Amino acid sequence: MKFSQGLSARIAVAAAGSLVLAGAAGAAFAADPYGDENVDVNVEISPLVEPGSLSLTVAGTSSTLTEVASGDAELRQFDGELPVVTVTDTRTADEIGADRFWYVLGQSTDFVGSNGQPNISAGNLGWTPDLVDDAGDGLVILGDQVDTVEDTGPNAVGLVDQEFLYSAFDSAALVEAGGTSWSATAGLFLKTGIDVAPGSYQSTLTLSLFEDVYED
Amino acid sequence: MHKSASRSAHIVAWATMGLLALLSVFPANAATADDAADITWSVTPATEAGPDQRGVIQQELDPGATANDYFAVRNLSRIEVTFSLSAADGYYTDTGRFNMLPSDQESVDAGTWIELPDTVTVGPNETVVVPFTMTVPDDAIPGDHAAGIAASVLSTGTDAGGSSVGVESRVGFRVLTRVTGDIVPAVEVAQVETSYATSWNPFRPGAGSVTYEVRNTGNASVIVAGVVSAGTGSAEFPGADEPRQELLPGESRRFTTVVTDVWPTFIAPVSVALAPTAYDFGGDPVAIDPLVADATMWAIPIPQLIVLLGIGLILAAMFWGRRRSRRKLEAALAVAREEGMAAAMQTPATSSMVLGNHPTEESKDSS
Repeated sequence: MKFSQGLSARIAVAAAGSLVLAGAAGAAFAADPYGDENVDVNVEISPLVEPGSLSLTVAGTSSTLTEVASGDAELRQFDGELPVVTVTDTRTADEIGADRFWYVLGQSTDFVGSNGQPNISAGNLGWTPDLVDDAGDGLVILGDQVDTVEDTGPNAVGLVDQEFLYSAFDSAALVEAGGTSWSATAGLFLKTGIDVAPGSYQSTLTLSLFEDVYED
Repeated sequence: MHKSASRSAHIVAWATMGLLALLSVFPANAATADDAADITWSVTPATEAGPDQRGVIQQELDPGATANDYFAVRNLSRIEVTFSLSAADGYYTDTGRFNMLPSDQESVDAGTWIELPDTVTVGPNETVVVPFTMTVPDDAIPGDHAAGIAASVLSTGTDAGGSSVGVESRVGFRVLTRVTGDIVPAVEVAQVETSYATSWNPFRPGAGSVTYEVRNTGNASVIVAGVVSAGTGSAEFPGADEPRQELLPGESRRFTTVVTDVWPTFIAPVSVALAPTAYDFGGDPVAIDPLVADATMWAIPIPQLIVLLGIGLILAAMFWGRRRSRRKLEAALAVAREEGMAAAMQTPATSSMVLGNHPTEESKDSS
């Protein structure tokens, strides 16, 4: 049998058309009847899992400094204790992801006199960070002791700015090591010259929890 | 109370009982009150639906553009807490950690571009999503501008007794905004200072301490790393247990790298070779030419010189000793010789005596 070119084309188009129709009919039969209100709705409700979080807990909101013997005739010293700070991480290592690390920083304002006496600089306040219940695995880094401007040495700058209380080197590694919370405190010490004006003073120490990400 | 107590024994007894009752109740109360009053919270970047995985917010905006975003404050305490919300300029501390200005310092840059509510009240174990807006001024300088957003709790209690420190605790995250335009990362190294710590064991090398300042002179945030070499030793910076060092535009930071295994060679060449990197917001590195700063370090081999001196002294002592003993020998020989000569001179006398005996014998003979 031999078809002309035109006929062959027509047959091909017709075949294609019937294929399209058959497809549409199949779809029509498979679909729910139009106008039927009874639609099955299937939904699977998984148990509610709160995502973990990295949180900060502070045990108190102020610290009082009381005078101690400074051991130096030229200095007066006042000691206190930072309220315990706790970082809790309930995230899984997967939730945290790679290359993240958290840290708690401390910075102080100047001490402002309550009766208009001159301020005492934040540089006169130092601290000695201390881990509470250190796991000893080296995954939590404790900040260096910061001395006051009345002291000498490389860290004799006071809690003016940059000082960190403690820090995770890698948030995920800490969680993988089995920990969930890490606490720290610090001994606070204010050192002034003996000519400091008597009276009460007030300063604010800002503690900040941040988590940063290595970009690479 | 003291006065009235001293007046009547009855009142003393009553007061003591009351005090005892107070003491026995107080510790238990204090413990539970403390726990219930503890405030625990977290702050993370979020979508309208809740916290997301971003950790930090990085965005690229045209001058004059506005972006809307969200963060979530989650209160994990047992009580409802009103947190104060703040946005402030961000910076990197001297130890290389991101921080934002405290509430008593005024922001001048990206911290002022963020608009957000002053406070948010969150019920116990609830999460509130807070919207915020970042509006870049029309005249913003192209490049990276850092800010932070935090939710904080501030103490209001004051103490009449002595000096007190109120503690403002905050949890926050970093918001880095890159204002579009020409991004030109640039870094310079300056003020290279060196010192040498001698090992007093002459068979051990000492350590060089190299301090230098790195300045970000461009308009992009730059991560600095490199190698510091001093004489026969070199060290990578930052070290394996130190955080990554990022410098925002305009920031400068002093670093000290300790290089071990440096033998004292009188003068040791020192070089700080930096390979800085900047990133575009797609995460691809933007090339910055590596740079090198050179210096020299005095490394006097004092223990080695002492050893040499010691050896020299011993040798000298030995030679001197030998010379002295030779001199002594010579002296002894001279003495011996003199004695010998003296003896030789005296020998005729002796023999004369011997000879002189003869007359006796002769006399004996004669007698």
